[in-house]
Amino acid sequence: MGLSKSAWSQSQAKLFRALLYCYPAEFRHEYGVEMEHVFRSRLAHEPHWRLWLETCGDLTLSALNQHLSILASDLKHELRALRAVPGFTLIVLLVTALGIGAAVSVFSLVDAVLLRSLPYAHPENLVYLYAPNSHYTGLPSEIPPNVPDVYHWQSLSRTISSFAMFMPGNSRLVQGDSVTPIATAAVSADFFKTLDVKPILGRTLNANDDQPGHELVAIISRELWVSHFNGRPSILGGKIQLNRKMYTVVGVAAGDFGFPFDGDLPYLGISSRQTDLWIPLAYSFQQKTDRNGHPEAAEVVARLKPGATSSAAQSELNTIESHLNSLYAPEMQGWRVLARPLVETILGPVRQMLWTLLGVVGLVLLIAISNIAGLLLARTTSRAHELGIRTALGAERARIIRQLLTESLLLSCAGGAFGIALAYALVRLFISLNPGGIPRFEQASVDIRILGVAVALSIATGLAAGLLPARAASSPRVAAGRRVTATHRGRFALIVFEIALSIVLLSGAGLLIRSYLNLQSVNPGFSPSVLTFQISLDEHYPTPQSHDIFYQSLLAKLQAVPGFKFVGASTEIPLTNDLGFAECEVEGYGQTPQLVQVVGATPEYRQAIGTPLLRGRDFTPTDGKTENVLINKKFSDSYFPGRDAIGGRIRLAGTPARWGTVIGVLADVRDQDIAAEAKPTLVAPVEDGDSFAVRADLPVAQAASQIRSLVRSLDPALITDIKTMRERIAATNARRTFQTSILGGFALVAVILALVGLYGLMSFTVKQRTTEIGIRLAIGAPRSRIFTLILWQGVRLTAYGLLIGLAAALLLTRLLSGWLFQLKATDPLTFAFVLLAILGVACAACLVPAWSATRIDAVQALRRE
Amino acid sequence: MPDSPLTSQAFHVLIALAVRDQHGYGIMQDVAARTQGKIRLGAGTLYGLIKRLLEDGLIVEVRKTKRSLKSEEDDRRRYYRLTSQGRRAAQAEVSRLNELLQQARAHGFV
Repeated sequence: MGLSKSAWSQSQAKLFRALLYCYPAEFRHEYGVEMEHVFRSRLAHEPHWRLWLETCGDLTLSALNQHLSILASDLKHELRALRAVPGFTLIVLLVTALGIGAAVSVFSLVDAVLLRSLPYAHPENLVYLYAPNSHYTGLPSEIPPNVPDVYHWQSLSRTISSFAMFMPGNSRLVQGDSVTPIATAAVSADFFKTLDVKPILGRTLNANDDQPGHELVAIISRELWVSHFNGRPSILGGKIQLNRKMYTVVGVAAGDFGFPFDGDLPYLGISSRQTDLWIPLAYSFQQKTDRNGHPEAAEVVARLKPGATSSAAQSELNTIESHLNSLYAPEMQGWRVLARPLVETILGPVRQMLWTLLGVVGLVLLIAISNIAGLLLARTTSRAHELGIRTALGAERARIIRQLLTESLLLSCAGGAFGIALAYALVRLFISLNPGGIPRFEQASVDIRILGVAVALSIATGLAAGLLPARAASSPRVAAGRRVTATHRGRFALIVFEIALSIVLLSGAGLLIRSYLNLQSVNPGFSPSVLTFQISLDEHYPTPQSHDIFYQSLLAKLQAVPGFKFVGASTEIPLTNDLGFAECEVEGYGQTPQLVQVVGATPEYRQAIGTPLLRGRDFTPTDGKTENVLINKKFSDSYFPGRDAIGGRIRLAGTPARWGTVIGVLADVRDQDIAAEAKPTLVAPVEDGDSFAVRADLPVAQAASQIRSLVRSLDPALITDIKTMRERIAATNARRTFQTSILGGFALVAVILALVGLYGLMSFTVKQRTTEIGIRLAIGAPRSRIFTLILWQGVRLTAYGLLIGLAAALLLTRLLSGWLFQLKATDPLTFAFVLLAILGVACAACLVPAWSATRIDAVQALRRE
Repeated sequence: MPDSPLTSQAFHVLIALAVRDQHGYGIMQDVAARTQGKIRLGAGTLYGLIKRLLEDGLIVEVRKTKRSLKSEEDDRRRYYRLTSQGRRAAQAEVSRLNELLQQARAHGFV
């Protein structure tokens, strides 16, 4: 028993000894043994529970006290020391601010877009439902399902709790004289329930509202309520005019709900950032049940029941759909169901871009850290004397490390504070460059959580950058005040690392820039300066005849404007996601109908939009009544291989008796995306269309205002979105522009950081080698040799960096290959350029130190020693 | 001299060393005995005080020779001695407290 009691005391004393590690090493070494003595003595005389209670409190307070007092004295010391080297301090602060600012700003983007949850409850349970059909080859699978089928799914599904159907569109909000275009969605009664959105005022839709013939009601977004109705509660029950009909406002949606947002729907363009108004779909009985001809289709988003997965829902709905297929005409059977998680659809395309950007700023931060580490190493080398004295006076190694870490942390936290300010500015800049189509992009901000990340990054930076110099400086060799080859080797390694990283970034940026230039040099098949616009007619124009009358009179009026050289109408404007496809049969190319793009165009349209005619002839006004067609080059190459397309015959499915004759071949028009090749396209003559192209001799603004007033004179309720094709190209390329400019900017920062590091190192080396160079000069070495000696050292370091960087870049730039246009991720020209550029500027960075080495005075250098 | 006035804990340590040199545990016991156990200095607080008093020159460390040690005392222990400066600081504190007490009396607190 006695033995076990003493063993018990022993282990308690051991625990106390372990707890002593809470104290600073210096204090522990000085008093640890004594403290343990005191503890043991008390252990023998006092109740253990009370001793431990007191010891815990005592230990916490006194350890903290000791640490704080060391910190205070270190900070005081370092602040004084840093004030003596303002240049060094300023550079370290700048480099830290750049690294932290870049990382934090991009992180706040990633946070806003990818990490914060979407503005719907449990978005992970929401799925988009699509209905691809094997008959539509060449079309994307994201085809909205047929409404009758959705009603069937609704009554049979066990995996889905509710279905929301919706049709995005635009309407005009008329308030007195002002007309505002509003992104509107017609939605089913369960829409708000499915997305789990509550009203902040009034109610959302109910089943009664969704009946045809019911009073017209509308729900508005909070944003619209505030911006257009001053947030008045009296809006409830009030009437608003949409297009030409009056609607009763029954509710205001909560928060920042605005589904569908732009970028929410992969193949439907939403012209505004978000939807601001919702009205009931109110399908008729026939629309809900009729599967013949062209059945009604709608976008569908559904909420999975708890525990159900999207793949389970997909297979269940496919089973149901396989039975429903028999209700369709034989040639239309083959419907399937595709369930896609909403989060995946919305964020999938931007995820890679944002993670890549985050990786890029991570590399920039790494370069910054190595740069700071290099600068600190140089500083500790020049402080070797001071540190040597401190060691000689009895300072412990841990104490020196601690002091140096305090310095690097002081610098990194101060730099981090500047970095946060920089991040604020950068986030503003990013938002101003918003490429559109990225959810919640404009909500990015440096908030309290981001600040937490910034502080953590600053501390990590300080520790990472300070550790190597602190270890090196506290090594016995430095302590003895000797020459510091270890720290030197460390700096060389850091510079090689920095150059390697900047090669990676510059190669990535180089590839993106080259790809961007490739894209700019693509001939889109139309003229960028052409003004284009589209006019949708509403219920005021109920018949096709009334459409024809309006469009033809507008076309005639436009053509009569002096200064408008060519004016044409068509069924689509390139780059507006408004493409029409049809099956056609090409004589001499087999019986299988081919799915091709079909465009209708008036005679002057080709000249107005600026598509070159490669062969044959253009439409004349008399072609409108004929079956003559134009085809594009891709069509000619695909379906008239090795034979003359002119005079070839084509017939569209559904018009069995009428063969059309090819009269001309047009250049390919990139009408989907500048980066995507044109599809085989058939151009049929039409007398009018809803899309207009105007080539004018007038300045753009003047021409646009002429068009606007002409349209208004015909019908003041119509609105037009007039843009040059150049603007449409820019909008299509916005995301590429964004990622290219940001990556390019960061790569530039990285290269500058690496070069500053190299320059600093070489200057420092020259200073370190002053005596050696002095001796060389004294024994007769020519100054040119000294020059090449230093230059060669710099070039050798750069070359190591180049080799490592090149290998890493070849591995990493593969990640970019999906973004590259007509360019391989291993494009030799880009890599050669990057290597030469880095080598060139690295040489330039070494020139000044090398030159200053030749100016060393041998006598003075030797005397110094 | 310290920049700040003595804390009551530091004062207790100085009083404990007024009569004879003591090691840490001795100081602790002395203080506890004089205050009827109301002030028990933990090891960390105690050596924090000792470090501070040493830096301020109010006490010094002394190594006892084997001969001067009584049999039960540990020769590895460090002992502390009040310096004349420490004595002056303690006296200054005493007169400060005394003054305070007189003022309190004059105002009828005691």
